[in-house]
Amino acid sequence: MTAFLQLLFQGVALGCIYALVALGFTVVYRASKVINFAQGSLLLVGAYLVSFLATDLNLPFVAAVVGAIALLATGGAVFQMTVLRRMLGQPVFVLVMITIGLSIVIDSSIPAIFGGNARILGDPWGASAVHVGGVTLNWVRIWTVVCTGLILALYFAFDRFSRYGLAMRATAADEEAALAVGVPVRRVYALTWAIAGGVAAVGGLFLAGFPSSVNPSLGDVALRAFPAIILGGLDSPPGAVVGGITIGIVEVMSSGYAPGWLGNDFSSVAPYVVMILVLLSRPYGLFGTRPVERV
Amino acid sequence: MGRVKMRPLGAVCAAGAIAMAIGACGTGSSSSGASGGGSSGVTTGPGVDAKAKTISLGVLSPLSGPVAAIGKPLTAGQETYFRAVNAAGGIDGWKVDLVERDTKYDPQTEVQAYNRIAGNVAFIAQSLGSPTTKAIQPLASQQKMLIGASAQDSSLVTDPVMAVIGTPYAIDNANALDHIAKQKGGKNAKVGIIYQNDAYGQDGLRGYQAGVNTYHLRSVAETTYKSGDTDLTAQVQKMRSAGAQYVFVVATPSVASTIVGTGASQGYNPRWVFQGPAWSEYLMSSDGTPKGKPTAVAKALASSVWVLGYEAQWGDKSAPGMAKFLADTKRFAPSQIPDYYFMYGYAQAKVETAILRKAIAGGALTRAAILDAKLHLGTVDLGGLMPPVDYTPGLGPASRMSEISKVSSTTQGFLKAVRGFFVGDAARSMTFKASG
Repeated sequence: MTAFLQLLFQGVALGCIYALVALGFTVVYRASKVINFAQGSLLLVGAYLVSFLATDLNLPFVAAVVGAIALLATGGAVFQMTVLRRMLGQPVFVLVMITIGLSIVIDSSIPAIFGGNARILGDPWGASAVHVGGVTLNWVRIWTVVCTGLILALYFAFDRFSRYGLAMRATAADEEAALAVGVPVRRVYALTWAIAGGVAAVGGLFLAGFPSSVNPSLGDVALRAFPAIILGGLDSPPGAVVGGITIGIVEVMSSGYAPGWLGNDFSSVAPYVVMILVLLSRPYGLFGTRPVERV
Repeated sequence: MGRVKMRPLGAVCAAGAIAMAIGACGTGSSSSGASGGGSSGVTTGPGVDAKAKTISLGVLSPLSGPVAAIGKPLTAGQETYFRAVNAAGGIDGWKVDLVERDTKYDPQTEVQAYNRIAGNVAFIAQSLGSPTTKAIQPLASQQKMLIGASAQDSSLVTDPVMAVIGTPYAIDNANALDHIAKQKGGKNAKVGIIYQNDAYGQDGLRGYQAGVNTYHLRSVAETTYKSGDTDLTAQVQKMRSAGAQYVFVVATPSVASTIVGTGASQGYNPRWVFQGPAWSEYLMSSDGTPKGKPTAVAKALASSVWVLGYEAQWGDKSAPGMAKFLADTKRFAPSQIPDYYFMYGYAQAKVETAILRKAIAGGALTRAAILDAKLHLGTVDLGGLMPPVDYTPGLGPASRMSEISKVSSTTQGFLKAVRGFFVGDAARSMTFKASG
């Protein structure tokens, strides 16, 4: 039972990181129908920024985190305003390819700037943990769950109750109609990229927490989060959260309990099996919007 | 790494045609690479300039990307040795020039880089990595190109064109089990293994199984992980529930530290036995030296990890070649921190110098002559930096010796010898057959 609870906790913590990655994807997709393939790379930048600010510039950790979130959010918005905005009117495919290009640039630049070796994150938690009934709860993982919960609550409050949240929903529902009623669609697009950057910074810092480290392979996590996005529904932020946590738990549990006859590394396949099973009954994901078409 | 570039069809076709043309230029014998007799009386081949008495050697190494942490110091080690050779007048008057290309640890990039330089180098002094080296293996065999393979994959040691130094991963693990079995109570030890699900992991597993069978040890758990896995709690739990006292870790450094850190935070501290590539100085501190800020896993690593390898401790003066190694490093790479990949590159260059010297003595620096010199090189003493290599036409591992070190947070390079070079029964009896 202890082993089960330990794996469950680890699965939830991993799922929270997946949820943050998936939220970054869905926020951008919902507004602009662009799948941002650079989301994993933004996570990588987030982790390195926190590490740089906390260990090289010796800022207090909280300041480093806030700084990284602000920098990455600004970076995301600036990228949208200076690059993607010029592509308005181009097929979505072109924008997707640009995000792939951005991802390649980031993945190559980070090791060139910081070197290929692992770096220290500079967080205050390190290896510290609390033990509850034989289950080890590392502080960094507890904070992962708590902060993810807070960020998601903030996002949903913003989405539901603020003017820009309403503008984002309006743009997602119908871009042309939103434009017609005066919604600042361009600003909404920039805002979605800022949010994607901000959540990536948080996701990156927790991904690099103990026992992991800040290293160039952190961005690969985005590929692991794909089943979460599809499972939850590409355009659904609540779906991203449910999908992320589900996939995190499935991955860790299958790694611990998959019988040998399923072969090595069934844990990598299991999230996709779950995703396919869900899609068989709900083709647009758990919370995805079924498109309405006039026939 | 997947790279996608979208271009109009015409541009793609044109780019393809240019790429093919460049590739074709590289694979064929270029004018500069034609064989001939030099003024020095040595028959020359590709990459050998008889007039300038210069031998060009290729280096195919990940100089960027995640594996650059290995590629850069290893290449720096080779550069240092060859600079020292050149400064001392060269190899019988011949200077060595390195033609370096970044492979990004990507097999496709490796093949492209190989094709670009193949016509202009005498041989490849460094090809880092198993998958990358295997990608150029057929080309090298076809062109009789000697490859200084910086990979301990067992399957490479039976290929005549591969010049591998050091000890294969499989043998290191078999030797470690010999050491465990011969410790007090070792016969009853419970052992386990966590290995990467690829050729590297399989090689480590092979040696582990050979050792378990030879010494009749109890292997209580064997489990894998996949590159990119971020949570390894399940793997650690398997070892813990099985009661493994010694856990072999055939992994990369970031995964290895995650495994040890996960175990430590759950109060599970077996003896972790790291395969060589699982170790990096940067697992211990921010700058890879004892002066740097310790990492969160440094304490756990220092108390419970053995590292398998075949290199002398950095600064160990009992190794006869250490003084010259340190002097050359100070002179030609003054900013180099203690790094075992650097030492590996240095030793590899020493073996390659011996091959060139033998080929020059034989009067020919052609591809065939260089290959022949390698096959009949015999034993080369590496001054105790690494075990001596022994190349014969019978092929097989260059060495079957391993060394076991423990992690020490205060030692330069962070490793302290537990047991010097030795060969166990299992390692001695292991056989190697050609791949493919």
